[in-house]
Amino acid sequence: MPQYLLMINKRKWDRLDVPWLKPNQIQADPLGDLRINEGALSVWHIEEDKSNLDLVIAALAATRQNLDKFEYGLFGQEIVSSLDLKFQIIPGNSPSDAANGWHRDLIQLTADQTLNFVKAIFDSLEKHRLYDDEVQTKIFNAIQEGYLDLHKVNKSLRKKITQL
Amino acid sequence: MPSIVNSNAQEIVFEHELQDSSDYERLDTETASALKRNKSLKTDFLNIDQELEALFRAYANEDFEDGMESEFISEFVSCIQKYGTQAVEAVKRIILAQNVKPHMTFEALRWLGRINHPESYRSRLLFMEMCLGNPLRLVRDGAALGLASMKDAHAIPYLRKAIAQEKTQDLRKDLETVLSRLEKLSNATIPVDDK
Repeated sequence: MPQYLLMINKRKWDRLDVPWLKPNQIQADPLGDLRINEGALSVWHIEEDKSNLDLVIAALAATRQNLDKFEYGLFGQEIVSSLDLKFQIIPGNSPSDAANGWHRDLIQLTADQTLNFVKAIFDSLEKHRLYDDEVQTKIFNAIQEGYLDLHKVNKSLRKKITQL
Repeated sequence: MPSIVNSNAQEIVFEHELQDSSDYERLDTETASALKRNKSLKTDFLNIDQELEALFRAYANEDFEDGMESEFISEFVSCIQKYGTQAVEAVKRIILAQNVKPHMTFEALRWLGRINHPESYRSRLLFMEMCLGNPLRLVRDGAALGLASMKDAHAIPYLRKAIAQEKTQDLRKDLETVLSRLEKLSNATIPVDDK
């Protein structure tokens, strides 16, 4: 089953063992980690064989000003349909035209839907952290393979990449 | 009144008893200079602490984003580069006093590992190794990220200990990743004959 990639702050999604959380409860932190604007949450379609994962990561990292760690989560697309959430295929704004085609917005999200969404993905979310050298490799590979236009990479980052 | 005796066996008094310059005149030149420097250092000490505390306070509500520039980080790094080890000691005091929000401590620690400042290297390394045992998850994680950036095998035993004690599963995995990265680097630098 294909997945969606969601940019996250890994520590907000830790399973906490604290006395104030009852069994089957989760802390509210993940809710604050979702950047929802006008009811829309940005996610990226990832193929079942993850063949486009590296390019999506490179594309997202290339919108930043610096090389830095990159944290993301993957969740099954069936969760979106099981919660009856709406989504739209809207081109992304990364420096990769190829990757931009994989961008999606989960739309018309209400507070209740967002809460249910977080609860549904919390346990199964595959959480990953890449270090700057790994991110750098992915960006370089994407540029070399012609999928990422160096001239469209964030100016500040481009300067740093070309100096390496 | 407590007093200390200098190497020339002259009895001198603590600097707080020195009210004005005439008091310094009672001392030998070397001792007077040392005390004046110490007093100046004490003033610097307070200023660096105050400067850093003000910095942490000013950006307490900042929403940090990976890979994006931050005025807090720019000023923090400048402070460390300007004051070196004294600034690192000040950061230590501030963080250990727990007057800083955990997410700011996280950012400060991971950037302490990224700074290129040889003079304060050891101080930063030792502090982050110590922070691996902090009660707060974000502090432990920030320290681990800082140590990952420093790429120093010295941190390996501290990471192993932290991993053995880590109760948060996901954080334990992240600590294991940092350990694995450092072990790989360490093995890569050991000549084959010495293994």
